[in-house]
Amino acid sequence: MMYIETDDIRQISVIAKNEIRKSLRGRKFLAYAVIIAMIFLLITFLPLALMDDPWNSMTSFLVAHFSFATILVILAATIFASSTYVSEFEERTALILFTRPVKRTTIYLGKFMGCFIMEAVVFIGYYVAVCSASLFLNDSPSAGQYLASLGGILLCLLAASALAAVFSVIMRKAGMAAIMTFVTMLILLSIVSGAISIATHEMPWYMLDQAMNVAFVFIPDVAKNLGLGDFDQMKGILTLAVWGAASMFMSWLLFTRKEMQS
Amino acid sequence: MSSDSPIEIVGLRKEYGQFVAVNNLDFSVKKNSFTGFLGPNGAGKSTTLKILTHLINASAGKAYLHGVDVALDPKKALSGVGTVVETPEFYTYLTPRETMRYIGEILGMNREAIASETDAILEKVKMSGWADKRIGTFSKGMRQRIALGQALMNEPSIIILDEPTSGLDPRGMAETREILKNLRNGSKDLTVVMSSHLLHEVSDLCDRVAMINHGTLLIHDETDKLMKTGDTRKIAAKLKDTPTRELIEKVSALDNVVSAERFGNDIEIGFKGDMDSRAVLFRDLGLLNAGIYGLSEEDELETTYLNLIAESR
Repeated sequence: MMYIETDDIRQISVIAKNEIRKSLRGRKFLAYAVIIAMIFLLITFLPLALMDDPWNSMTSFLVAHFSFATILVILAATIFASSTYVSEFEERTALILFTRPVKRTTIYLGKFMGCFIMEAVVFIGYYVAVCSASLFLNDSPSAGQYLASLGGILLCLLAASALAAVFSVIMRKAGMAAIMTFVTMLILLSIVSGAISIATHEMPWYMLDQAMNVAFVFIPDVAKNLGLGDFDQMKGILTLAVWGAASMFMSWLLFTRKEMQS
Repeated sequence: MSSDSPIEIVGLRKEYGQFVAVNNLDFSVKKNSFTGFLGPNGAGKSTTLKILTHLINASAGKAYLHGVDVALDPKKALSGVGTVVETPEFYTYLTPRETMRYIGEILGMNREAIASETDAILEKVKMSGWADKRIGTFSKGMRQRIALGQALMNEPSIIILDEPTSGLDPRGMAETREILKNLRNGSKDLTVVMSSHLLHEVSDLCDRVAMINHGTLLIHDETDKLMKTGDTRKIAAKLKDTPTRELIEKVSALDNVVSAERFGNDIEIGFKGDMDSRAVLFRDLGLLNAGIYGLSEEDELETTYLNLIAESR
């Protein structure tokens, strides 16, 4: 049953709220926030300690920061989204939640929304920190360019989380779901994209790892510096949307049919 | 669907590959009854209750709660239903009070109702003292009490319990049983189905019993009636000294005694009769002055159960 009623929306927010509380009280959120903070501090301040005037141009500063964005997206999907569904079965909390008058679709959407909000909060924090630091440099991009770039990153996050959700529903153990998510997004997709580009002599824009470059192309100097000057923004956005929608549909379908075994 | 049967199961079947866990099961639960769902391990009890609570799907047949097909509209069917399936785990980062709030919010209760019901329920399950401690630190018995507590949120009219005392230590079992007894005695509009393989638990708590084996219903009737279907009863008389042949003959000659045999220092008495004649027997045994210090009787439900299970093999 895919139809959503008013009461379902209320229940989605209740479940999302609990998912956020789970992240805040658990160590995952803290660990992820610490990783992000460390990356920001190291990229920003380590060059300052090692060389004179490392940030002589805004582009080099932003490239240094944004080149890590994709791996942070993969890390977020691995830490949050890959465990969100499997944990209900593995930790047997499904016996409490699933036996309540609440649709599986509602549970699916509530949990997805909760973990996406947590991932997004951390990324928004990272962007705010990068923007704040860039104020000390000349030629800072416009607020609109930053917002468009953030929008691109959030779309990457959505697509990556949806793919992680597929592993979360398929796997029986959260640890295995996390490994599969990380390996698939970091290694397998790159191998496939690489093989296709060798065979066809062009980068496969329809692959998730390639479409994720959309986050960098809203700031023209950064895009040029990363060799993405020809990147078609609209194609990238649509590709991410298709990957996200297809993965969400597949994980939803599997989740609503998954049975609670002893 | 009959309004007198809030739980109805029609032609239910569940297959796991070649294995048939539930085989064309038909079964309805009388309104306001406390029904025990008895059967040996692997009989299909848990599978049936998991289908009823929408944790798994049936291969064929229907399960209805309040006349609503669980598979077609689980949200509506499970409204007004409290469940404890197996030994559930809780979100360890929540306290019992937060767990109740979470369940209450899912059920659509308002804040005031959640707060007042939470206090009353935690009192009922004797967890008030731990209301604000994280569940992660609780023992299995405490978690089971919380499980029973959350099943009571929003005053359900149906409660489905799957082996609620399973895995608990004797104290935990006794505490859980006491909560269930209070539940049985304290609520008028409440239908409870409780699976168990503990016969004394079922005979102690339930007014009706359904027995199942190999996924098929063997019998479903009032507990009292089932307890009377056993023919010859076994009573063990415990003696301080080894009984003499003469004493055994005297016991054999007592009214309604079918047989008397020595087992160590005990005499196992085969007996046929109602409660009054049993009282007469106990009096007569005392009059023998044979040094009998104890009498124990085989559970009547156990006799029926073992006979039915043996026949169904």
